[in-house]
Amino acid sequence: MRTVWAIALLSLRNAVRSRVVVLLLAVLVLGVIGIPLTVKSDGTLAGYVQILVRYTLGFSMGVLLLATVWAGCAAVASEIQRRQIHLLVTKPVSPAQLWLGKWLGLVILNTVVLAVCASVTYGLLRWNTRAGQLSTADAQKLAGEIMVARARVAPEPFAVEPRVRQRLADLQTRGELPTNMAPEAIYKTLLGVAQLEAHTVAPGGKITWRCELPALGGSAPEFQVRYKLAAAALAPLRLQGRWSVHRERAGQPFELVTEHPAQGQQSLTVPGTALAGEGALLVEYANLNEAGVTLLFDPEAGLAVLVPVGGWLSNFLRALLISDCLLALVAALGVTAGSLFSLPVAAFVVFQLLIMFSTAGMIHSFATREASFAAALPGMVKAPGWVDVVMSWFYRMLEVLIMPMQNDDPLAMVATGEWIAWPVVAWTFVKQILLASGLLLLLAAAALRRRELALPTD
Amino acid sequence: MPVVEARAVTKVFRDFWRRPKVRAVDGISFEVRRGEVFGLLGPNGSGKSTTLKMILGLLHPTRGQLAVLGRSPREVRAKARVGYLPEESYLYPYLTPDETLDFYGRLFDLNARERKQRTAQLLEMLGLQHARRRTVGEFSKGMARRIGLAQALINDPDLVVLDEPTSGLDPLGCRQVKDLILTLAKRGKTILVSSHQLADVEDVCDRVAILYSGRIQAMGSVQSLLEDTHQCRVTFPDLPAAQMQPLLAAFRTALGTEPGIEHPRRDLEQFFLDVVEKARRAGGESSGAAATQGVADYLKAPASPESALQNLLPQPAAPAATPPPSAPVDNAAALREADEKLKQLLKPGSGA
Repeated sequence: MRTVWAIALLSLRNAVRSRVVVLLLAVLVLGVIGIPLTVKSDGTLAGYVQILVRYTLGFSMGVLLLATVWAGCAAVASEIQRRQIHLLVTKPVSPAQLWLGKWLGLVILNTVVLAVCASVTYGLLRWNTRAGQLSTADAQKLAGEIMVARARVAPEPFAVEPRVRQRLADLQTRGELPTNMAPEAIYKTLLGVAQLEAHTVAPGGKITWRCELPALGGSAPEFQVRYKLAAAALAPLRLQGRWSVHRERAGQPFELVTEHPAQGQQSLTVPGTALAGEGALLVEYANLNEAGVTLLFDPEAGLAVLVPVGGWLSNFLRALLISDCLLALVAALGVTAGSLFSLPVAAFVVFQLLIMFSTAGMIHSFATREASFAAALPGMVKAPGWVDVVMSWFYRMLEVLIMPMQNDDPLAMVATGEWIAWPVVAWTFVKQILLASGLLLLLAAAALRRRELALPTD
Repeated sequence: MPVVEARAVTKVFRDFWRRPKVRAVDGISFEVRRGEVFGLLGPNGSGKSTTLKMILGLLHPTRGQLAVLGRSPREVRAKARVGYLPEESYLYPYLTPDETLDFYGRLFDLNARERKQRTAQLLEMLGLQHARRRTVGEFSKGMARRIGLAQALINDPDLVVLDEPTSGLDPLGCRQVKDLILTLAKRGKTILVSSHQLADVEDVCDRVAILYSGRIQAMGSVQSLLEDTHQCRVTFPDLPAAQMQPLLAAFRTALGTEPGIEHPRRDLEQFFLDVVEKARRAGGESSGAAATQGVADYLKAPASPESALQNLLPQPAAPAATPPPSAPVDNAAALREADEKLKQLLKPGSGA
């Protein structure tokens, strides 16, 4: 361990004495102070918190990610290029210790820089919302609705599968199944249609969700229901509906008629009294639109019940820990690429991987939808070609390797007051540090063991 | 067991497409025995540095076998007993000498007290105490070289690999390095030197191998390789012509040819050292490395009796796959000398 620490401390000394850290900190602190002054918010207090936490700190994270890619790739690659590695690897230092030392140095550096940025952000937030700056109503809203941590409870999914299976069986019996589509693709299409049907509310109709709430420590003064609603009409409309929220048994229902435009995410504040009683929480919505418009709740964005469960600051800390794990994973990618390739090649490879990482979800979702769509077209060949096979393996890799490594944006969650549980932090640590970075360590160590570090071309 | 053992080692550098490009080392075989100073000589591109880098595990042989201290050069355990001074300064320019030596000491798992002691002793030995707060990046080539040498010795290694050890050093530094090599060798350390400075190699090496085009062209003890057994030199004080004439006449008669006569010259290195020493005594100051004569205490400490005895006993000749031309070695004389040394060693109160 002494060897690993020695190499980590050397990396830190290098960063500090080459003034890279000072420059980086200056850019980041200027960004944290400057962005809220230049970006226009929607004028609400929640919007200001969003700008400060999500976008300003998000900017710092972006800059840090880029700096980490560069520093990670340079950590080993530039040592090889400058031949300083000749003195390192002729000492009793294993490739794994070398990798760990370089990586640990970057992790410590990132943690310190992120902590400084987060402290400045939090300081700014507290300074601009200090006593006397806000009206009493805004101060209450800040404490009760914005700077809170609420658990996001998703409702139970609508049980549409049995209906879809039945429909598929009926089609098969009647011999009406399309012959140019694989049965899986037909099932997926029918499932998608059934989900949309389940989230649709006809004029005068009603939809009910059932939520199993976690055990709450104390009685919450109020909680939120967040949803996204669209209308099956082209003309701009204001949507009217009646909400009813109550427990399954012995509940005191809370009822409210709402009216809002048919766009964006909406939020409904429900008093804590609606949580009284036993059983799951039932959330009902009745379509009251007089124009006879059918409404659709977005099946993906869905509806969520947000229950206060903890303090904002500790939630902020957990968001930072998750962000730090991501930086550590990127550092691991960089150090590994730098162990395999020269600096420019390593940086190019890591940037490609990051692009793939950040667009994996979109590519995967697009590809799966397109596949079913394309297969449904008349005249399409069912037998896959080699391009299809390669692409199918690529998507499988996205599914198995890259997508499980992703998290919801923790800064966006903390900015909207969404609770980040400790198990989420722990799972992020396990998958991004222990599993992914550990795998990269093994890869880099094997490569360094095989690699000749004094070739005339290095 | 030899400290370094090479058996038909070949190194071929390949291009990006894995096609052979250069055969840098071509089937060389040699052994470096415990306690000897072994020199690798050769012109540029002869394969000296490639051989050293394979011994250090920085390059891998294409063919053949290489063992360092009985292990593969790539094994971490073998590296714990090796010190390496590369040809160029590959030090971190942002570290001070103290930090540099502390860093490399940590890599050998030395504790803080040991690192501090050794750092102080090495800096004193190399005359760099006054520069310990400056960063290595500000150093002259000679001063950086001295720090390079210090890091090679921080672990008190059994095998010291020195690539062009006197390159970039002034004559004072060269003399100091050569003295250090001899001191280390006396302690039973094995020194492997690669150099262009033939005079330096001649001064310190017990045996040398001369490489050309990746092959060993000659190998043996310096004495056996350089001795000209067809000529003889007789040295006596300068005599007046009257006394010299009969002597020359006697030589002429005995040899049947004119003998060569010349006044012996001091070598330039010794002359330079004398001049600098006089200037230093007169009070001159230098911003570079200070002149020192000592050796770090931990490097002077008596070696283990086992290694001292092994050092004294004659080693079997290295069986080579393709034996290079070598001068005969007088084994009886070597045994007599070893016997004398052994007696000295076993006297009560004597050190190794």
